[in-house]
This record gives sequence, C-alpha cells and structure tokens, in this order.
Amino acid sequence: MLEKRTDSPDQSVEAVFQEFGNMLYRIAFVMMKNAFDAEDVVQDTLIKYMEHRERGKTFETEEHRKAWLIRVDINLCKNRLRFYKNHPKIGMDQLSRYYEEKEDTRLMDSLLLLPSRYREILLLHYVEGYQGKEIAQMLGISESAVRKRLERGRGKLRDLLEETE
Amino acid sequence: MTDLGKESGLMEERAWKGKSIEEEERPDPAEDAENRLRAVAYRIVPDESAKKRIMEGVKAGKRKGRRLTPRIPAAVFAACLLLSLFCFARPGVIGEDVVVYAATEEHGWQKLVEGERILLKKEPYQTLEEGEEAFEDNGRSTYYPYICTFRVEVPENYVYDKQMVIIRDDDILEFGDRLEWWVAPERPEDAGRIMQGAFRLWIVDENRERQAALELELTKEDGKCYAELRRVWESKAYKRSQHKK
Repeated sequence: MLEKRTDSPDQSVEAVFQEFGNMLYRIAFVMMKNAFDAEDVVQDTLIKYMEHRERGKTFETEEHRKAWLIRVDINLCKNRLRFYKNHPKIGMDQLSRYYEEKEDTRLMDSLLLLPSRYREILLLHYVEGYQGKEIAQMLGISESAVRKRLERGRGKLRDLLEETE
Repeated sequence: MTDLGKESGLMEERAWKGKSIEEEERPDPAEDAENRLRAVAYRIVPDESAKKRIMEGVKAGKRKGRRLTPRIPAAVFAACLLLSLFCFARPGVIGEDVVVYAATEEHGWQKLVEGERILLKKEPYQTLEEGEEAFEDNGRSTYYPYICTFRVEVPENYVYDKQMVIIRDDDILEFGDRLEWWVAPERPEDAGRIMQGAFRLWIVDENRERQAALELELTKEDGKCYAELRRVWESKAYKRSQHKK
C-alpha cells in the first residue's frame, strides 16, 4: 500500500506544510466551502501526519506522501461535513478574496454548488491532475465510479454555468 | 505525478468520453470552463495569518472535539478495556445520575432501563438528490434516510467520552448531550439479517478519571431500530464521592 519503510530525507511537518499546504487548503476550501473549516482541516491533516510519523511509518516516494495527505485531507472534510447537517453555502465575500473576474467567481461558485461527491472528483482530476485510477485508489471507490461521477459532475457543472449565464 | 496536470487530465477525459482528439480540436465553451478550473482553483491559498494559525495549532497538537482517539493497537486497547472493566466492574443497578433517554414513537422521550429493549422513533433525515443512488459501487451507503435520537444526562462536573461505533453503514455520533444514530438503507444482501452494535459511554470526571461506563445495545431488525441499556459500571471512587454527599 502507500506506507512504506523507506523515506525521503526531509519530511518534517513544516516542510510538508511548505510544499503541500496550499494544495491541502485548496482541497479543504472547495470541500468545506469556507476558510475557517479549511484551516481546521489542514491543521488536523498535519497533526495526523505527525502522528503517522511518530508511529514510525514513512513513505516510499514524495508521490506516496502527497496521495496520503490528500486522502486524509478529504476524509477529514467528509467527517466534518457529516457533522454539519445544514452546512452553510459559501458567501461571496469569502470567494471575492480570491477573484476579481466575474467569470472566475461564477465558475468557482458553480463548482461549490455541486454535491461533494462530484466536487472532489472534479477537483482531483482537473485541478490536481490525477488520473481515474489514482483517484479511485485515493478515495477507495472503483474506477468506473470515478468515471461516472466525473461525467455527471461535468454535466452538472455545465448546467449550473448555463443557468447563471 | 508532479507533472500530471491539465494535459494528462484532458487526454484521459477524451478517452472517457470516447471522442477523438480531432473532434476535440473544435473549441467548446463549456469545456473551456473545466480547463479554467485549475487556474481558478489555484488562486485559493491560505493567507499569511491563516498559515500562522495552522502551524501554531499543529505545534500545539490542538485537537477538535472531545473524542479520545486510541493510539495503541486495537488488541492492546481491548485488553486494557477488559482489565479496567474487571477492576471496576460491579454488575449492579443503573447509577441514578447517569440517565439515557431515547426518542420513541409511542412515549416521546423514554428513559432507558437496564435490560429493557425499546423501539426507537425513526425520523426522516436525508433525501437523495436527483440522479443520486443510495448505494455506492462498492455496495456501501453514505446516505442516511432516517435518524434515531438519544439524550444523555450526566452529573454536574462530569462529562462523557465514547467509543465510536458503526453498524454496517450506520453511524452513531455524539453531539454534546445528544446522541444520533444515522440509519442507512439496508443492503440487499442483508435482508432478513439482524444487525447489532454496542455503543459505550464512559463517564469521566474533570481529571479524565473514568467513573462509570454504560453500554447501549443497538439493534436493527426488520427495518426497525431498537436500543437496550446493557450495563453500568461505577468506580469505587465514584461510589465514595456519592456516599460523602
């Protein structure tokens, strides 16, 4: 599996945050739809990473480490979403921190309106650049499910974009 | 995977959609949006103050919630649990101060009594969105059409910790003094089977010393949900403190 007994030299939590912090935050932000939860999720992901290291577990490659972090990040988001029965929709004020172009805001807003099962697949595929097989392994679902969700997610995203045009 | 970006993603997308690369040459405005996702999403980054907060929290080992996560292997954990139960065990009456109520159809909030199995009220909870299915491809479900609710009362100055439990696809969650059993649909292969799980609560004092433990036996049978209070163990310290009052 992903955890192996060999490791690359620098795996301190600071180095991991430096390298993958933005990515973890981006995923958590899109999943949780707000900056506060995104911060908490990244924090918990890094704590889990520290605990993982304390147990003496290491990773074979940087890619294994990255995939492990993404998996933990997404799982923590899912756990948290379960606890929020009616999780609030993101306010435009939070998105406007990042976007000046109306088109960009509309695109990201549409992505955030998608159900989380489609959101995570679109994010991992189009934003993080993972292949279907890798996403399937990361999320513990079949490749055909990834394919199906990607297709549906893409369709829903287009519908939303058309609606707001 | 560092170079896996938009390009490789698009290649795969083409394959999935069964379109040739030539066909893809024609620009599609909707597809352009998907391609722009990467650039747009990459602008989401934590600002310096957020970065600082995250690292401070990590260094402090900050944990959210009151859950105690066992960091020891399950077998060792189980052995310690058995040992502690053996030390503290006193098969006895239910502590008057620790009370669990369950929402029932017939009697509203009903106090659980040891050894008595009661039928729980299943309230509608989640609905499926159009096009969504109750079961994932792997046969699991993360959709909860029903919910059963419990209320826990513990003595002042005491709190409780719990042992997480799942029954097949169901989750039992704690929200302060409220427990929720999120009920997933029955898998086809489980038809006619009785599903059961034990949910343990440990009452701890302000020093995190375990004072009492009780167990809820949760049963799913013929689509109905039942709960039974199984046991309450109280520590000698707890008994002594109660005696002094």
